[in-house]
Amino acid sequence: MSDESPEFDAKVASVAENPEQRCPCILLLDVSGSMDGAAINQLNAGLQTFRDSIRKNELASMRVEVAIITFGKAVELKQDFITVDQFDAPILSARGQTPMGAAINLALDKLEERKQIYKQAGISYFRPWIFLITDGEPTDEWHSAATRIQAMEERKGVTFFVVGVDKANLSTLAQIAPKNRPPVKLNGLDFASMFIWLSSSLGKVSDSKIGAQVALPPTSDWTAITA
Amino acid sequence: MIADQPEIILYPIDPDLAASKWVVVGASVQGTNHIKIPLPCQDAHAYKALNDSILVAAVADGLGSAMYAQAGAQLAAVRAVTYVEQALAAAVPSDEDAWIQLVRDCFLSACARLEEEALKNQAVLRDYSTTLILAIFTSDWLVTGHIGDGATVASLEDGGLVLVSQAQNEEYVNVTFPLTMPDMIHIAEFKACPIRVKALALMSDGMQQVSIHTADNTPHPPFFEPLFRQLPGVKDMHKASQNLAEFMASDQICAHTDDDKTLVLIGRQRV
Repeated sequence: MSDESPEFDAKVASVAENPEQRCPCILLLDVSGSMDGAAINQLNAGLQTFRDSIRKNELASMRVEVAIITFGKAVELKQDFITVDQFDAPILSARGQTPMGAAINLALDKLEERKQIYKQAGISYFRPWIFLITDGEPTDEWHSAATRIQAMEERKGVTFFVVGVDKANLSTLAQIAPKNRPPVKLNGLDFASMFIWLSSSLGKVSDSKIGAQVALPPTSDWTAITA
Repeated sequence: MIADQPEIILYPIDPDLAASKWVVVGASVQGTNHIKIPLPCQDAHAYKALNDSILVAAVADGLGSAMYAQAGAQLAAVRAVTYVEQALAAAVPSDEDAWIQLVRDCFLSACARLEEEALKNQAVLRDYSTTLILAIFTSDWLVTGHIGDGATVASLEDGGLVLVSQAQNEEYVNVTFPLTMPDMIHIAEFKACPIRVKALALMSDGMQQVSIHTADNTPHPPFFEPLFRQLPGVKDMHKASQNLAEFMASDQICAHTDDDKTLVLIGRQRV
């Protein structure tokens, strides 16, 4: 290559400043009394791992928007949607019952609200994720919320994952989870591996187009083997 | 930071093109995320100058979820261009309906090519899922076909830029309509306009984020104008394509997109 200026130099083109594409992800976390102790501590540490792991990927940390809804003594929007580059993991404490039905409904409402904001701002977005983690079963009315989220999953409106911890009632959870994606059981309290998987899956999803099936990394690193 | 160099695909400049009055500068470049996963570059492009007044070009973007996405994109792009070449050798349409019929048949032929390949390899059609954008650029017509995402942008004689074809309306940026879907022929968009344009750009969605305003779907003039302006002066198309590929692989572009990306620019030589 000589120093002479090329007859065609693409670098003179300047790129459009578009808002970054977004990948919304809601963490729906059980903070009922039974989670107190080791479980809530490991969950808190796991959230930190999730944040750190996504932040290793610069583009993903600007694209993935996380929101946290907890359900225990109350259903609470602990963290409204925020891109991971701005996100600091909250410290959760555990108390009360398991109002999962109300929490699912709030998550779906927040998601619709967020999509409207994206549309108004001309921001393109990925299929949203809702990731539910519980060590029990709902103590409120949950059938209508389950019907609602399953219908949304079938319309490809959301990718919904259900993770059971410890003594979680997997047969009830199976009625809440999408038919094609049964609940999985967390291996012990290994929230760290689960959140690493989630962060790399979000990275993958925020990469390329998906067709009929979603190719995600295997969950075997963090799920318990069930007979 | 990524140390590995991305895979770069440049379509060979054939003697017909080199001898013609057309200028084509194009490249497909592997996305940074595909380097990491790793996945090959699943974008492909192809083009052919049929004579001094007709040029055909195609861009295809293999779906990340498809097992043979790379082959699917390459086969679809090449078949689309070959089909048009053969069809126009028999007869050149003179009205809109005939042009549209030709592009529809071209898309069916590209899909049939993938079906053939699937059968040969005991795979299913879905394994070859890809988008497809086709443009036939003549002295007095601009004809396009489009399934899935990506875009075609034209520079008009008066200097204005226009988005000629764009992604079909899907809600999520990571979901798209492939050539291989059952109802493809009714979802794909086919257009034929009796218009002479100055230059044309075909791109996969990886380049859309940096060149088209997402808020109102308009081309970004500071991106296209400097590129289109340089086309008439290009003598060495291979070297220019290499330069384009380097730009597409640069941090400036990769900061906004980690997907595979393709850009094919078509213009006429300065006379």
